Order: sequence, then C-alpha cells, then structure tokens
Amino acid sequence: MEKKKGLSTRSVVAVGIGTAVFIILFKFLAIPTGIANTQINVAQAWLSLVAAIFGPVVGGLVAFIGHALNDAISYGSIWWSWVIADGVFGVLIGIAGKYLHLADGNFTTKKIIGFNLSQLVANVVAWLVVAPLGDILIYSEPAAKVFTQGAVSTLVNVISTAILGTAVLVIYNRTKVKKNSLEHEA
Amino acid sequence: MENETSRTILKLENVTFKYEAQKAPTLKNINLEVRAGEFVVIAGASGSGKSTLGRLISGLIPEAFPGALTGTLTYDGQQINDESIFERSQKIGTVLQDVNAQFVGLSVAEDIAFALENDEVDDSKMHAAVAEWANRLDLGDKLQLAPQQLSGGQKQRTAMAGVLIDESPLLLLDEPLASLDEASGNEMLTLLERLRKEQGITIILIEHRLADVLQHEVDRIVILEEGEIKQDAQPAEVLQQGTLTQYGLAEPLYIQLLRAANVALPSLSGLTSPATVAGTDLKEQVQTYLNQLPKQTIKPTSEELLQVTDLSFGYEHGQLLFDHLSFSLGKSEIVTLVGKNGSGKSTLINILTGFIENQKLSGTMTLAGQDLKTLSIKERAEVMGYVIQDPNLMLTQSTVFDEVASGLRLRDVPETEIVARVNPLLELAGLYTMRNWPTDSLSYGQKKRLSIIAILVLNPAILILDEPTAGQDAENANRLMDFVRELQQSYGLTILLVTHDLGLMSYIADRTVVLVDGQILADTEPMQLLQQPDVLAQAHLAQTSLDVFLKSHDLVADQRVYRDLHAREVANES
Amino acid sequence: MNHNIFGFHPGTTPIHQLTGTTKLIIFLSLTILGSLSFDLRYLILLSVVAIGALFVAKIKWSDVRVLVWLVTVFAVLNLVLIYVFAPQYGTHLFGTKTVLLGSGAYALTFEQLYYELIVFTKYLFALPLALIFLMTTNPSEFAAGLNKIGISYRVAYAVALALRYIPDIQVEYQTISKVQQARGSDLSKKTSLWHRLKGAVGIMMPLMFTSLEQIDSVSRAMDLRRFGKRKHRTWYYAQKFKTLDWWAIALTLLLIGIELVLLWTNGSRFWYPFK
Ligand SMILES: Nc1ncnc2c1ncn2[C@@H]1O[C@H](COP(=O)(O)OP(=O)(O)OP(=O)(O)O)[C@@H](O)[C@H]1O
Ligand SMILES: Nc1ncnc2c1ncn2[C@@H]1O[C@H](COP(=O)(O)OP(=O)(O)OP(=O)(O)O)[C@@H](O)[C@H]1O
Ligand SMILES: [Mg+2]
Ligand SMILES: [Mg+2]
Repeated sequence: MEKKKGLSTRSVVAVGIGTAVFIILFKFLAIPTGIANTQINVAQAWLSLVAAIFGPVVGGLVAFIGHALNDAISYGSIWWSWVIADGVFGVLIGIAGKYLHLADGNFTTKKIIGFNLSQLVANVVAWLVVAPLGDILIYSEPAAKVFTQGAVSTLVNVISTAILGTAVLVIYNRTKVKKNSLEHEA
Repeated sequence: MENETSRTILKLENVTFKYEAQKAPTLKNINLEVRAGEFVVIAGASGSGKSTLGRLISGLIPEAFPGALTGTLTYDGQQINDESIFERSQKIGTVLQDVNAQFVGLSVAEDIAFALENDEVDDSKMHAAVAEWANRLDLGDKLQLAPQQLSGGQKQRTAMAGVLIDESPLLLLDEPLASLDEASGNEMLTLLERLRKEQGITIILIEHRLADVLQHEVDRIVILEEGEIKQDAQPAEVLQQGTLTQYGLAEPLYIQLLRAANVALPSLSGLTSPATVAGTDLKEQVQTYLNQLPKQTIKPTSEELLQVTDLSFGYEHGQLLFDHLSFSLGKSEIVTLVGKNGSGKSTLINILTGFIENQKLSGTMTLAGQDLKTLSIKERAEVMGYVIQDPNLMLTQSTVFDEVASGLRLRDVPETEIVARVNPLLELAGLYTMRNWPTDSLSYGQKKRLSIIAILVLNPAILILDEPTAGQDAENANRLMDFVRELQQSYGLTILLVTHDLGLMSYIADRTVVLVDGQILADTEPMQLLQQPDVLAQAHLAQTSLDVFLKSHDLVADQRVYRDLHAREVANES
Repeated sequence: MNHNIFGFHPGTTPIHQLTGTTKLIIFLSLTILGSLSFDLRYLILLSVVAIGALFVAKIKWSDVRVLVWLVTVFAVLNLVLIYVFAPQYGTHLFGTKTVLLGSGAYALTFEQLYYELIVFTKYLFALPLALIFLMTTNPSEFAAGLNKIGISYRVAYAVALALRYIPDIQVEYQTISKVQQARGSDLSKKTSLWHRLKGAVGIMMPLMFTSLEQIDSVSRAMDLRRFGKRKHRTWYYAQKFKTLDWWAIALTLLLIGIELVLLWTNGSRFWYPFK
C-alpha cells in the first residue's frame, strides 16, 4: 500500500465537517448563564472533542477556520487576534489529547483531571495571553480593556469546557467499543 | 444466457471477514463469481452483511474498516486483496448507501468532476467530460445547483455520474433506491440497464426492494443470511423456489398470490414480470382463491380527532407550498400519506407536531377540539408520537436499552417498570440481544426500528411514522407494522404513516391521502386509489404488481387479498 | 432556507466577473492594511474605495440591512467599552491632552475622540469589504482561490466541505432540537441552568454521533474517488485571470504602496496632525 503524504483524507473531512458543526453550535446553541452578556459556549466543547480525537492540526484548523468564517458571516469582519487565539486553543487541546489518549475508549478519572488541567492552561494561554496581546499589537487597543475582556472569556470558557467538554468526552469514550467485545446476549 | 461464456471479472474465494470490534466474523466463507457484463443483485435481511460484502469489493475493507480478512479476491485474474482503495477505484466504481455523504461537491458540476480533479485532469477535458455525463444522466440544466436544491432522485443521479465518469468497468451500488419514490427508483434501474447495454458495464446492486428490481433484466440474485451466501441463482429460479420469505425478503405480491392460489410456479412462463406471466388455467385457479376469501367487514367511520382546515404555509417568502389545505384524522384510523419526493409530506407532519413554527402559517388546526397552535412541541408530543425519517437524529443515548428507556426516565418512571416495558419492545424489534451495544454500531435498519420503539414505549394516542419501512427488510418491516396494527386494534391508536410502498398501504390503511406538490390530489380508500392510474402517475407511484397481474387477467380484488397475502407471508416467516 | 451561508448572489457586475482568487487577494490585503493603519486619511480613502465598490457590485440595501445594524451596534458597544476601560488612551497614544468636557479620570479629551473615530472608521470600511466579498464570490471559486494563493489543497478543500455541509448540519441541528423538545427536554430560558445544560448535551449527542459518522462516510466516499492521491489537484471552478483582474490587482498594489509611503513619512502607524 502506498504511503499517503500530508493531511489524511479523514483529517481533511474532519476539519470540514468539524468546522460546519462548530459554526452551527456557535450560532444556535449558546446557553445564557443568567449573567448579562455571558454565555456558555457549546461550540468550545465540540472543539475539545474534535481536537482530542483527531489531534492538534485538525483541532487548530477547525478553531481557526470556524472562528474566521463565523466572524465573517455574523459580523462582516474578521477579528484576527481572537481567531488566532482560538486556533491556539485547538492546537493545545489537540496536543493534550495526543499525550493523554483522551479518545481511546478508556476515560479514567485521572484522564478527566488531566483533560481539565490542560484545558485550563489552553484557555489561559489563548484568551488571557494570545488574544489580548494580539488586540494590542494588531489593533492597538487599550490594555485595560482587552485584558478585562480576556479574563471574562477565560473564565467562561474554562467553566464551559469543564462541564460540557468533560461530559462530551465521557459519553464519546463510553460508546467507543473495545476490540472483540460486541456479541449477542441472551 | 448470453453472458455465460464471457470472462470472470471478479472472484471471491473462501472469503471470511471479522470487524475488529466484533467477536464473530460478519462474513463467512464467501464464494462468489461475477462475469463481465452481468447484472447481479445482492439481497438479504438487514444486518446480513450486504454492505460489508460491498466494502470488501470496493476495497474499503480492510483499508478503512480494520479487521481480519482471509481468503482471496481476484479481479480479472489478478489478486487484489492488498490493493489500495485508489488503485481499486479505477476498476470498481462505488456508490455508497448514504447519498449525502457521497455528494461532496458544493454543486452538481463539482461533484461530477471530483474524481477528475483529483487525477489532475486539465480544464477543457474536465468540462467536456462533466457536460457529457451530466447530459447522459439528464442533469444538464442542474449543473450549478447545490445539493440542498435537488430532489432525492437527482442527488442519486449526481452521485452516479460522479462515479461513472471514471468509466470503470464494474459498478457497485449499495441500496440506491432506499428513499426514492417508485418512479425515481424505476428511473434509476432503467438507467442502470441502459448503461449496461450501452457501455457493457458490470453491475453489482445491493438492494432490499426485490419486487422493483425484478422488473428489470437481472441475471442473478445472491442471497445472504447471517454472513453466508444461501442462494445464488437466476431470478426465475429464486421465485419458483419461494425461498425469499425464508431469508427475510419480500416476495413480489403477484408471486404471493400465485402461491396462495396453489398455482404450480415451474409450469408458468414469463414468471419474473406480473404482466407477462402466463399458464394454463391460471385465471381459474386465482379466481377460485379469490372467491374463498372471507367477507370484508366494513369499518364504521369514526369521530374526528385531528382536523386541519385552510392551512397555508411556504418556506420561501411569497412561495406557498400549501395553499388552503384541509385534512383530518379520525379516531383509531390508519391513514397513509403518499406522494412523490418533495411533495410536502414531511413538512405537513412537521407542522402538525409543532416542529415548524406557528408564526409562518395560517389556518386552523384542532386536536380533539383543542386549538393545536396553543400547545408546545412537548404538549403535542404527549398525544402525537412522531418518528422522524432519519433515525440517526433521534438517538441520544449511548446504549440501545437506554435509548428506549430515556423517554420514561425523563418522566420519572421507576426503573423496574422501565425494564418491564422496554424489554418486550426490544424483543419485538429484534434488538433484545443487542441491548447493551452502543447505538452507533447498529445497521441503519436496526437504528430505524430502535427509533420507533423509543417513541412507542411512551404510549401516544396518535403515532406518526415517516417512512418506517424505508431501508428495512421485509421480515422486520412486517413485524413492526403488525405490531403497529395490533396497537391500533387493542388501544384504539390512530396512525398516520408516510410511505412510498403501495403494498404496505394496500394492506394496512383504512384511508389514504395523496399529496403532490403541496396539494391533496385524492383522499380515499386504498383500493379506490389503485383504480386511478392518472393520480398514481402524478404522485410518482406505480401500481402494485398484484394489481398489474389482476388487470391483465381481467380480475378484480379488494383489500382482503392484500391482508390475506400479508397474513400468509408473516406465517411463513416464523 | 439559505442555500449558501455566504449569501452569494449571482450577478454580472465587474466585481462579480473578477475571479475568486482576485477577490480573495484584495479582501485579505485590504483588511490587513486596514487593521494595521491608524492614519485617518488612509482609512477614509479605504472606506471610499470600499463603499464605492459596494455600489459597483449593485448590492441591495435590503439584503444587508440586518447585518449593517448588527455591526453598528457591535461597533458602538466596543467604542463605549474602550471609553469605559481606558478613557485617556488617546492622550496616552498621542502625548497631548485637550480636555473638552468634564474633569478627572473620565474627562472627555479631543485625543480620545480622535482615537475612537479612527477605530470607528476601521469598522466602517471593513464591513462593505466583507459584504462585497461574501455576496459576489461563488463559494466554489473561493476554495479554488484559497488553493491558488498558496494554501494547501487539502485545507482549501476542507473549507469547501465546511461550506458544503453547513446547510445540512443546520437542518440536522434544528431537527434534533425539535425531537429533543418533543421527548421532554426543555431548552427555554424558563428552566434552570442545570436543565439547560442537560438539554444542550442531549442535542450535542446525536449531532456529535451523526457528524463523526458523517466524517467517516464522507472520507470513505472521497477515498473511493481518489482524493489526496497526488501532490496537486485541478479545480472545476479554477478561472483564468482576465484583464480586469490585473487592473484590480494593480489598484490593490497601489493602495499597498500608499500605505508604505505613509508609514515611512509618519514614522509610525499613527498620524496625528494636531500637535
Ligand atoms: N464498522 C463496524 N464495526 C463493527 N460491526 C459492524 C460494522 N459495520 C457493520 N457491523 C455489523 O455487521 C453486521 C452486518 O452489517 P451490514 O451493514 O453489512 O448489514 P446490511 O446487510 O448492509 O444491513 P442493512 O440492510 O441494514 O444496511 C451487523 O450486525 C452490524 O452490526
Ligand atoms: N427547511 C426547508 N427549507 C426550505 N425548503 C424546504 C425545507 N424542507 C423542505 N423544503 C422543500 O419543501 C418541499 C417539500 O419537502 P418535504 O421534505 O416535505 O417533502 P416530502 O414529501 O417529505 O419528500 P420525501 O418523500 O423525499 O421525503 C420540497 O420542495 C423541499 O425542497
Ligand atoms: Mg447496508
Ligand atoms: Mg419526507
């Protein structure tokens, strides 16, 4: 069999369909928390799952393309600093998924903790470092404003991912069947 | 047969395959030989391994589906076990079961061109080839359209064009007819027949709907059961032996009739078509059978339960799909809703169940005197259980048992009662032995049954089923429909059924509503509808093979025949 | 239902006739230029070009009204936020302080107003540019265009697939959410946050499984038609550059040139003549 180079077909499709789902969730399924203007972001949970299953390249691309397309469609302009930050988040979760084996069908308590620690780090890096710095460098926005926005986003995303991201990974792993395990029962 | 002497193009010898996740092999010791230019149909009950066999031939196994494969596959004398999908795709064109996955382009033109784009064919050559195949498949004026703008039949033809453009000598299709209406299905089969004549393509077709397929020039039928080839013979032979029911497949209705009338099938000529079948004393024998059927009991008209008056609705602004439509459902009635693809059947149901919002529509809808518009989706669902067309969108739990139990759990039913209510239903749907499997390792037919019992467990007063038998094998479809009818008889359940299958309509329905392009063309008894060829044609429906047979022998029949034949078929199965 | 989320409207104007590649190049270079520059003159020039192009492309007000209002609200909100968090940011940037109104930390300065005007102009020009790009570019040409400007064809095709499946997934999403409601889960604002979260998981599950399954079956279908076999691929919608495209690119190069000159003469991204 010939060796295939570059992104595999499955990864390409994962990016394509993963992005489509990301955008739909972003647009339609945001849960208001009760606090003004803050919503639990379900798309971020989907992103964690895709990154955990398909790895950092797919995770990063889904976040980057999904966020950019969504910006373009919903706001008419692309806010590049946040798009890049989302991409960074996807890559980091993908790396964590690869090292922690988050999608191999055996999601232990240890892995749950590992996943949540890494999502904490990924969210902080993305929304409290990359996004505000990007805002300052690219858009020359005032630091006080962008760091406050960054802090709020970090908090919301960490909580959303802790609840929904973990739930989705738990359910996904539960349905992954182990080798030679399916048989008819009386 | 003319192909008898031609060369063998594909050969499977002692092929056994086990999916990685399975304990036992799914295909066992398969031996199959296909000659160049042949039209072979692979049939078998749901879960018998048809798609698995298809994957083996197309090369998806073992590359995309890991597992253990033994035995040899040869193509034109060459061993191809280890050939990559890419190499094999040049020889064998494959159209997969799911059209929406098969259609990857943003428009018809791009999808047809897809394989050529990947082979770096240059611009002018590609455009010429696309134009040619679009014309051959009658898609010439649709090149710019997106998949969402096409009917099921057009999508299916695009998928075919995208594979045929490779001009590979062998074409493999996995259930291309499953969700097409009768007319589009026949059109597809005619197209295959034409391709085979014009280009000498060899065709392997995986299909449940044997009754339709047999109207065309099929060379051989291969029947699978639990992963083994049980029969490999010419259509006439298969029909004569009457083994179809035994393997969970539907026998064409006219054959069932002949069998019920005790006609000796081997003595007949032209057996594969209801219009041509002939024999001595044929008419008399059938007549005798018809005469001995019990008298039909006339069902009294029932009080109205659901009433829709002057309903108007359109998806697009200014374009009405329904224009002052009126429609009603009586208590304990079984009504079928039939009509061609894209007529608005699913839309009508979505309106009734509240899936489409109230603001967009006008007219009145009442349920037992109560205004439907004041009820939420959930409140309507307490009365009207709705099983949507695509089972994948209904399954929310991780195991089969939990799926059926979930509605009860949401209603705080105690766990012991849940087990007592769920298990018999699982048994009935043939899913009991798989109750702890993850829902996503079921076949399509199995998922469909699961989605139906997940709603049935809630005991609704009205049950709405959108194409419950599409993609189902006969045995399971019959079991399910009998169960539905039992519910109707013992609990007075009202049932609204969307279907393309007139055979099903003929034995089950008290009344049938024909919807074409948003208008009700007929609202009548099933037998009356069968007597209206013009309405049938407009609705893209074909007469049942039973009707064709009876007409050509100047015989008349009513619903009793359909019900009697159905009862006999079910008796044969168990 | 909207068949393409880009809101593409076919047409025959010169802008419609440009190839997808050209439009992509112009869109990307102008948005980058607009993000980088804080020179009011240049931003106004870009706005004039963008709004002019809007008329050339014959885009109807009724088609863009909603989006324009949305972006205006968003822009104003952002301007207010900037003022709330950094009322003296203009002073900080330009080094002078000309109080117009009030006193203390929230004193309104001319410098702040000038800075916020620049930010506002940035939004003003970005929106028409995006609208033109979205509404005159055939999504199919967009993917081919991405590949042509040097992005790997696999990534370009992934974008095409996203556009292909968004409408399908939107329908799936809506169906799932209705089915869930019928089965008894409540997503409305009336219930507790916990119930809403459970409802969201109930929608996520089928969407997740169908999508993951779809990823598998679509990639199989693509494998069966040899996607990814070669180093390159051709595109049905690849278009040849015409004279018009070269003119448009030349105009873009001119705009880039002007920005470089301005950067050079200003000595920074900012231009502040009121010192
Ligand atoms: N990817 C898979 N992994 C494990 N088991 C599988 C897989 N695909 C199918 N099976 C199992 O193999 C058996 C045969 O499935 P297959 O899809 O070939 O049936 P089929 O005859 O095509 O049925 P249908 O008519 O419902 O499409 C089923 O019991 C199914 O559960
Ligand atoms: N969400 C939607 N937005 C816009 N148009 C739609 C939508 N859903 C369906 N339509 C259109 O409305 C018409 C009726 O569609 P519907 O799905 O109700 O047909 P159907 O009779 O159920 O067909 P089938 O037998 O193929 O299931 C079709 O022309 C279809 O293209
Ligand atoms: Mg199958
Ligand atoms: Mg329908």
